[in-house]
This record gives sequence, structure tokens and C-alpha cells, in this order.
Amino acid sequence: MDPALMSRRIEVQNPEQVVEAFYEKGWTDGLPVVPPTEEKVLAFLSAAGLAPDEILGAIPERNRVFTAEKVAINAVMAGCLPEYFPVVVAAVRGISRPEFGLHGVCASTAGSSILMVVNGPVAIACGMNSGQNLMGPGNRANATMGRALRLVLYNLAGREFDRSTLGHPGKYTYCISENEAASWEPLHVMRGFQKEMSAVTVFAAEGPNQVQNHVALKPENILNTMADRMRALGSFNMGGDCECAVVICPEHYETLMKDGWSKKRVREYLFENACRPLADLKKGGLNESPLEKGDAEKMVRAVSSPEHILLIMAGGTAGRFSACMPGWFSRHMSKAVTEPIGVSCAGGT
Amino acid sequence: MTVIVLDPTNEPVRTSFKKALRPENLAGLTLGLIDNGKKNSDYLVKKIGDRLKGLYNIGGDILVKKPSPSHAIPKDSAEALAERVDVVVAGIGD
Repeated sequence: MDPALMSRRIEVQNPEQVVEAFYEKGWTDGLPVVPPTEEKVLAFLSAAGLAPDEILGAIPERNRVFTAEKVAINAVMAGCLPEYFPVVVAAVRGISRPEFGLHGVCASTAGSSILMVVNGPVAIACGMNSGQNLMGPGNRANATMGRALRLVLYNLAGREFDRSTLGHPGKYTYCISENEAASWEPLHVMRGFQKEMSAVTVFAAEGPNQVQNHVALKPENILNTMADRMRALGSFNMGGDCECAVVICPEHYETLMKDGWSKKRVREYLFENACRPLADLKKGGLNESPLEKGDAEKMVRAVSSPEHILLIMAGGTAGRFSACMPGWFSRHMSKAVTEPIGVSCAGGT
Repeated sequence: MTVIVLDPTNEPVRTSFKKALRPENLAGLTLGLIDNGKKNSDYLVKKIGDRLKGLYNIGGDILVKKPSPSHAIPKDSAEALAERVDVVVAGIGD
């Protein structure tokens, strides 16, 4: 491996000035960054076993290439530790797959963000949070891995392309892991990987839509409430053919498991019930064609297959709050990608 | 004590490509239209095509629809279009 780093060196008076200089140059997400020194960047590359010039991905529509060196610089800036870097590397590889459609995802006025779901031993070894305050602040691994991906998009893919009308807070960071202590198959296993492997799933998504149900003791009723949120008129799931991520919280999971509901069964139930008549779309203004006979019986589904529901179990043990994250635009433009994590911190693959 | 840090940005990779020769006159040429698949994009490019036909006596308006607005036109579609037309109108935003 050739460790020579090719990036331009910038000399500043002290670490505080690095932060200000990077603000001035427009190289941050609006928050302060960790100074990316050569020593730190080399430690990151070493942790992932990568040469600086290795190409991890690209965004061909913009002629932009993501080298390991540049991705490592941005991961340092985000506040990652070296052992997190293989997860960031896998995420960058994932978003660079043609089926992910990165150019549209990070240019669209729809303002989606890239949800990262980390599975396998690496999540535990890096100390990721799959429990309380899952989507919130407080865990370094979750916060900085997701932030690293955003800085990569801003500094390497071209922030000037981001035309989000509103955006959402997940564009700062949007990275979680799954509670794999559950009896359910983890997400990466459902998507074809061995349980003992580590993988990250990347998915262009809206922010989390929280779904509370503190009443239902029947699995169907919990899922009916979830299905109602999944079929909301204003999401792309009702207008197009999108995937949808669903997080089931531990209390809801316990109720489902009492009656032996597997992930497969939950996905099939949500697929069947997350739908509404075409007439609703017309009455709700999402379709301006005149109402026709039969529209009340013609059902429009939130997802076109149970497999298009990315289902995970995670969140705090208290509270009956689950969530769904509707997808971006259409599966024809972007599909979720699960990428194996090649080199990980202790125990991973 | 000074600190030396690394530039986190990159530049687009420079690629060389050869522009097709621009015709001096559109009269008698065949027009191609690329619909990027966004709502009303077909309507807009057809309107542009009609206008061009009216103004410049250009012929044809062969329409190709991209499978996805955010991906480039597939290579085989581009090559097939290039065989059938002389000039192309493409590029639609929101």
C-alpha cells in the first residue's frame, strides 16, 4: 500500500482556526469539524486496509469520484473513530451502486436523506445505539457515521447540486443499528447476508414518521396503525412505487411475538393493509382526474411487494412508539442497497 | 503551534469528449426529443419540437423516454436515437 496522501495541505495557526477556516470555505454541514490531519487520515485508511487512491465509488453524472483518502478526510471531520471507517466505506460503496441512483437522491427537491442501518457484529463492536433514543442524539458512532456520509456528499459529490425544498434533520446524520437480540431475522439476513457478517443498508428516505399505539394488544391493530401512516397521501409511497422502512419498537415487538408473528408475516400484513382506494387519492388532491365508477374499489398500495418493506426492530424498551420512513420518488430511480462491511473493528467480517 | 490539515474537497474528473458538429441550418433535418420522464416533460419537449418545426422547417420529432429522470439515457437508446436523428433536444428540470 502506498500511504502517500495527495490532498492539498493547508497550514493554520491552531486547531480553533481550522474550524473557522473550514466554515469560511463552506466545507462543513454547519457544525464544527475535527481537524483532518495527515496522521488521523492515515489511521483511518489503515483501519479499513485501504490505499489512499482506492476508488470507493463515484457519481458519474457529475464526474465525481470518491477516493478512500477523501472519504477518510471527511470521516475524520465528522468525528468518527478509525474503527468506524469501514462502515462509512461500505456506505459510500452502497450509495455508488447504479441502482441507488445517487445523483437524483442528493439533488432532488424532495430533500430525502440517506438512512443507514448497520447490522452485524460491527454495530456492537463500535458501540452503536439500537435502543433508547434510537433516532436522537447521544451516541458517537451513530452520529458521526451518518454525518460522515453527509460530509462526503457535500464535499465530494458537490453541495451545489442539493436542491431540497425543505430537507429534514436526518440530513445532518441518519444512522441507526438494529436490535439483533430479538428473535426476528436481522435486516441484512433478510437481504441475503449471513448473520455473522456485518453490513450496512442505505436507503433514500423521508424523516421518521412516528406511530404511537398504546392501546392495541392485538398484533393486527398495532400494524393497522402503522399501515395507516404508511398510506399517507403526501408521501411518495402513495404516488409512486417506493420502498418503505419500518422500525418496530420493543414493546410492539413483544406484542407481535406473543402471537408468534415473524418479520415475514408482519411485512405481508403491512403490504396487504397499507393501501387505500384510488378514490381517496382523487378526493385528497393527489390525483386530479375526475372520480369514476369503481375508484372506491380500486386499491393503491404503499409498496408493490412485501419485500419492499425494510423492517427492523429497534428503539427503547419503554414506550409503544414505532416509525416508518417513506422512500424517495420511485424504485425505478432509487433502490435500497445492502453492502457488506469488508474490514471491521473487533469481531466483524 | 501551527496545524497542517488536508483539503476535504475534490474536483470533477476532467474528461475529454468531442462535441458533435452543429448544423448550420436545421431545414430538412430530423429532430429527436428526449423526455426525461418527469411529469409534463413529454408535453414540454413536444411543444418545443412543434415550435422548432414551425420556425425552421425541421422534420420529424422522434421521442425517446428515459426510464429514470436522474439517470443518463441508456447507451443503446442514445445510439439508436443518433442513427435516426440529426439534432436532439434534451434537458428538463422541475
